[in-house]
Amino acid sequence: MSDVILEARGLTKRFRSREEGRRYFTAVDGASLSLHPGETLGLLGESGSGKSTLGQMLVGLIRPDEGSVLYRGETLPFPFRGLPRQKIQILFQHPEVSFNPQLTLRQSLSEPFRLRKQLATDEALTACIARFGLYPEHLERRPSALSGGELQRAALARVLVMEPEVILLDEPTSMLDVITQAQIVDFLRRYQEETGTSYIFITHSTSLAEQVCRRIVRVKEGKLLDSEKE
Amino acid sequence: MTKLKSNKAMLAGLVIIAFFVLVACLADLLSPYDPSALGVAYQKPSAEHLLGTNDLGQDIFSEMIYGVRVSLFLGIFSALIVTFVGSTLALIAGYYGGAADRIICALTDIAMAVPSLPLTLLLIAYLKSGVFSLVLAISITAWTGTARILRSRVRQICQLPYIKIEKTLGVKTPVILFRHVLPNLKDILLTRMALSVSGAMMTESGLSFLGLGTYGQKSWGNILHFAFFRNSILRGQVWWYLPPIICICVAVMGFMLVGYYGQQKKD
Repeated sequence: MSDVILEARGLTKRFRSREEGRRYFTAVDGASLSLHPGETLGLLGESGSGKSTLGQMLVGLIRPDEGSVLYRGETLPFPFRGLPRQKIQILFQHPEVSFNPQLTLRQSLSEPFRLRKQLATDEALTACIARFGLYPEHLERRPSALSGGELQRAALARVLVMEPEVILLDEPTSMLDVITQAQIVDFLRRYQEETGTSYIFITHSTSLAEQVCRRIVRVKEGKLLDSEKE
Repeated sequence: MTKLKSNKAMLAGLVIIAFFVLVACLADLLSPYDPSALGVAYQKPSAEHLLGTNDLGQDIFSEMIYGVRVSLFLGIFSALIVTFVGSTLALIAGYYGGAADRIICALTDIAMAVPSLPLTLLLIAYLKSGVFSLVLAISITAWTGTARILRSRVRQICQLPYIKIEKTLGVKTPVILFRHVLPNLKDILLTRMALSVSGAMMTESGLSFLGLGTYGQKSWGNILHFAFFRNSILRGQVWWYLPPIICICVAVMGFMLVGYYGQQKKD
């Protein structure tokens, strides 16, 4: 078994440009990186540097124009299917749009259970949210009736039902209050110690990256810079 | 319900629609005469014939009541087809993007560029006369607006994190489309459908007025056609040509008010 859980080899993504005289702009340019089991890798860069595009290619949401993503040494076809699809998950920055506004939390949380062919019983759903300080009455609410902090905790609970090995955290705490930020960061750290899950932590905050990540890769204008903290 | 009460335009539209639907359902009970039964021609309005009689002695009030059925059926059925075709194409274009999007957008642009009335007339000329031919001819040119508007909205929704999360969870595409995208289009769908019904009713009235409508079945456009064809304006028979015009206007207004409410909410 490879000691690298997720690897990017020469990932490149171009988008159509609206600027005159320029057909395409390169959002990510030949990015290569590797993620080891149980580590937290920080992708640090300014807004528009291409870190989110790179992250979304790593989780199989955007098809790269060039390069490949490898999971445990195996090249993944796009879109990801089967076990890699289950084991590589994402948590977004905006909790208020991380849930279908038409569904209750119960309905949204039942989805990963169904996908894993498990019964979404009251006990299972309650246990799933209880460790994030949410209660059974939250299950019957729609996203509009929950706070940002509650939604982000519920989003994390939903992701963890899949028992992922890699979670891409795309600025997961930037929209939250300080207390909820600390709760989520603390929970993620404990969960990593318990399960050996790997994180890719996307942020523009150097201090947060240094606090959370074991290794930091800086992203600038779509390119990865060799700046690592060990 | 409270939201509905606060929006008087929507409420008025719904009352109008409910009234016409009720009339269509109870036509057999409400109609004093068989609309095809012959009698004394060109009678003025009286207690016996509320809106007088036409050139064949048929009771115009009974014709009007039965006319609701055909006009409403045509409008609603055409709108269902238009909404189905428009939303299916919009879902495919908006969700998959890329080549599928470009092909559907090009198809929509071409269909929009074709003048709809001549194409509808051409289709009616080739198709067998009847309600279903009329529905098909109206629908085939009317889906473009719905497809274009919904496609933009689907694209917006598909960029939202919750759709991306569903994809990373491994939820299948049909489930994403029908459980997570479509329900979030319901306001705009309602609006487009209401506007499609009014558009289809107007087209049907226009075609029937030109004599290309449903022969043998009474519709408001059909009544209007015969009223003009038999010189009711020159004869000063207001009771013959005015009621279908008023009914078409009020029914179209009803659906447009419902559409207006949806548009307002979306804005």
